[in-house]
Amino acid sequence: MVSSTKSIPATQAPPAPPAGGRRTSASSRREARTAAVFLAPFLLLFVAFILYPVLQAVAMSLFDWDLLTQSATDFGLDNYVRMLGGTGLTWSLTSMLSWRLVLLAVVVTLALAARRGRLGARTAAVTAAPLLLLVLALGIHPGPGGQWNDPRFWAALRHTVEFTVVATPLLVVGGLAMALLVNRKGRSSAFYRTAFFLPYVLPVSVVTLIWIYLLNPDRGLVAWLTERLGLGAVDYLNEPTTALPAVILTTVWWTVGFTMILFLAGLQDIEPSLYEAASLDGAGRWDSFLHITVPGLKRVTVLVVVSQVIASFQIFGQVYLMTRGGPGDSSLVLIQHVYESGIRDSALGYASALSLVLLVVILVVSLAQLKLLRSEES
Amino acid sequence: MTRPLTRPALLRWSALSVAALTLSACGGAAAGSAETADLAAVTDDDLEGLTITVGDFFGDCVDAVGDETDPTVGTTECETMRILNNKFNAENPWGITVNREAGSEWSVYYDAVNSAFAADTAPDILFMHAANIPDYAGRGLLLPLDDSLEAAGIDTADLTEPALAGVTDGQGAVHGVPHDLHGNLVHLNMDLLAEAGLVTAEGEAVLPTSPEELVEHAEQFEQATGRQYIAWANDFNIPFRMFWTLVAQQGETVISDEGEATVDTEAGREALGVIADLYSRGIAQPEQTYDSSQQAWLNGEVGMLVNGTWVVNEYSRSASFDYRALDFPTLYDQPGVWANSHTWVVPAQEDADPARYRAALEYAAFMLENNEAWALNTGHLSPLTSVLESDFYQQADQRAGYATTAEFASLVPQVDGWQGAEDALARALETVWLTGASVEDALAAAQSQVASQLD
Repeated sequence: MVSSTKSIPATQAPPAPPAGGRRTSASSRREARTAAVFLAPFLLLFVAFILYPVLQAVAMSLFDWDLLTQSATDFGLDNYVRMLGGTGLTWSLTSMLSWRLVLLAVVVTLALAARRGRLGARTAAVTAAPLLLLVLALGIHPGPGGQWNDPRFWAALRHTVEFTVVATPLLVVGGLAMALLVNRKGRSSAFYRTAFFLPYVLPVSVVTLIWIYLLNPDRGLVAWLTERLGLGAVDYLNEPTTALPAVILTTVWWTVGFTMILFLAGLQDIEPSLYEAASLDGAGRWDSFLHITVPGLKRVTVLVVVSQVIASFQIFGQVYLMTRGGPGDSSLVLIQHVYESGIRDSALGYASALSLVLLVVILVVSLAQLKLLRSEES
Repeated sequence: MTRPLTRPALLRWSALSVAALTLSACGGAAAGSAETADLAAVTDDDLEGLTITVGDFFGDCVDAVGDETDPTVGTTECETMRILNNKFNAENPWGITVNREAGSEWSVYYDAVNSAFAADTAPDILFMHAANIPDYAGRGLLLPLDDSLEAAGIDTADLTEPALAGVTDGQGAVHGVPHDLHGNLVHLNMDLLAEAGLVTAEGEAVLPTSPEELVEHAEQFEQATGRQYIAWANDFNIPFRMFWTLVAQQGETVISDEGEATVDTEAGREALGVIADLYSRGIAQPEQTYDSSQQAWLNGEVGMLVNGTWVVNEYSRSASFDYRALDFPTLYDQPGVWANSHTWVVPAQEDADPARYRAALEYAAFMLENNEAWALNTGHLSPLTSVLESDFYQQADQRAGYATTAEFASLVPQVDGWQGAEDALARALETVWLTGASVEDALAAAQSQVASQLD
């Protein structure tokens, strides 16, 4: 194997420092100017379209900011109290038990990984501590006669997390499986690559229209199939238990082609001679996959997982077009709540507070993932 | 190398930015302050050749309509609206041209309207549901029209009581010109009802007069025909509208005239209990949508469809059975049915040009004057007593069967934040048949959520 990384021979002397302090500072200034010129376009766009809106959202979230009149009144934390508070709140061990058990299982896994030396003790502790706090916090719920100030926020947050937790693994595993299937030469492989990727080029309106038709209980293909199988027709988009899964299915069908392409690029970066050597050593397909493919795809996996988690937390278009968050609030997600609060109800301050909470959730989850996955890699 | 920004410096900059934004927030645009403009003083010369814009949600069926100016040839809301628009542009004595702004469809119309107001680009005249008026009028974004209606020749005495109440706020200020009244009706398959023995010897439909009788009729109908007695669209807020109707028929309100939520009441429990009972008995089906319930009824699988006035002409054309549209049956002490009203409102503009305001009002006045065409082509009820009582209207297809809806229509009082409150109420009610919540819990949740939205 030929390494593409060039290393400096150990015997080579380090470059001599430039003579004279004046020259050093002049060259530093020149370097700084050059750096500034190259960085300026990005920084300008970053400040204008990311930093300023975020700071503006922070400011807006502290006011009762009206969309229609663009007026701001009542400075304070009212929006956050409305979002996170409630009346008659209490704590119990059994509230959201299944979620808390899953989180506890993650904490135990982290502890075991740290013990076996697969994860740094500090990383494990830093990740596990917030999770334990979350396990405690999830015990809070409205007692008899009490309720959350904004129950829709909690419903939306819950559905957004459910969507992310279910859709992301499906996209990762599905994308990898499809990439493995089409990672070969030949016409049929090129056809399947195109076929699998094709849905991704469609706009969300077309994708949702296709699936609304497919899932229609009277005229849809899915109902036609299930009726012939004797299972009857289900109105997937109007049943509280199937609405969100139907949106997840649509999203996976739509975007799995993109993760497939990323994995495909990763697969083609793995040195073929590694597989040859493993084969000569008597390794089977499964062993090769486990010990060559999976480690070889670590970087791509980090990219796919983190980007899909971020994208999943921002789910909106499919939900809005397919179910409008219904029936009831059974498929309501956070961005829809932000949209409705800000645009329909004109409460831009509250919508900003909701967005900032979503931003914090995404940041925390993404950073934790990066830290864990990179730590595992090292 | 450049010196990195130290942490304290970074904090200083961040604090400064937030402070600047905070200050800019305090100095944000003040709430609109539309004042009554003297539209009577506008002369014909001022109006000469003006071009104004209109926003509505009926779509752009220009291909079907072309330059047509005869409203009687319109067969849908879109066609009739565009023809009336053509007619105004062609016939108004001042040469005013009203151009339609690229509109949104009904479900996202108010999002577009809100964006337009936020960006100070609201059209000169807007189509608006009466229930939505307070959200804008309360912020000073709509022109009060009380003193100007007469200047445009609008006779408020001819408006039906519910239509006028729909555009009048608690202080008596008028912010809209009614265009129609639309409410829930029952659309009947008379052939199936006859088969079930629910038609009199004179050929009149026998409608239930109490919740108990509704259940009896449903069972009798199902036994005789093997079909579904009653259906409605669960995705179109019909259950909420049924709730509103049944509360109104008990002489109570869901929202008081003062804008307070009165959801969790004895009348509310009775109304929601009746609806929940219809679901639990399998008489009504919670998964039926607008599309599927309508299709089932049109296919002759349902005896009675609960839907609005806007489908009367369409059903008359497409039903392959003996069709009849009637007032929603009175199941309690007094008649009453959920209703809303389409209206025209004039957004307050930055330049407050009286001539443009007057041109907009003339357009609304023209629409009201030509209201008969709208009512006859679509099925909506006219807001004008003179039209409703005219022989021509009474003799028109189906109209006699539901003209009285205009009298006992129960409109949402003029309260700020109704759109969000209605959504919250509808969602809370749905939990009874979607997630098995009790009527008491659903109403308690509805009460607090509606109150919070109206707060």
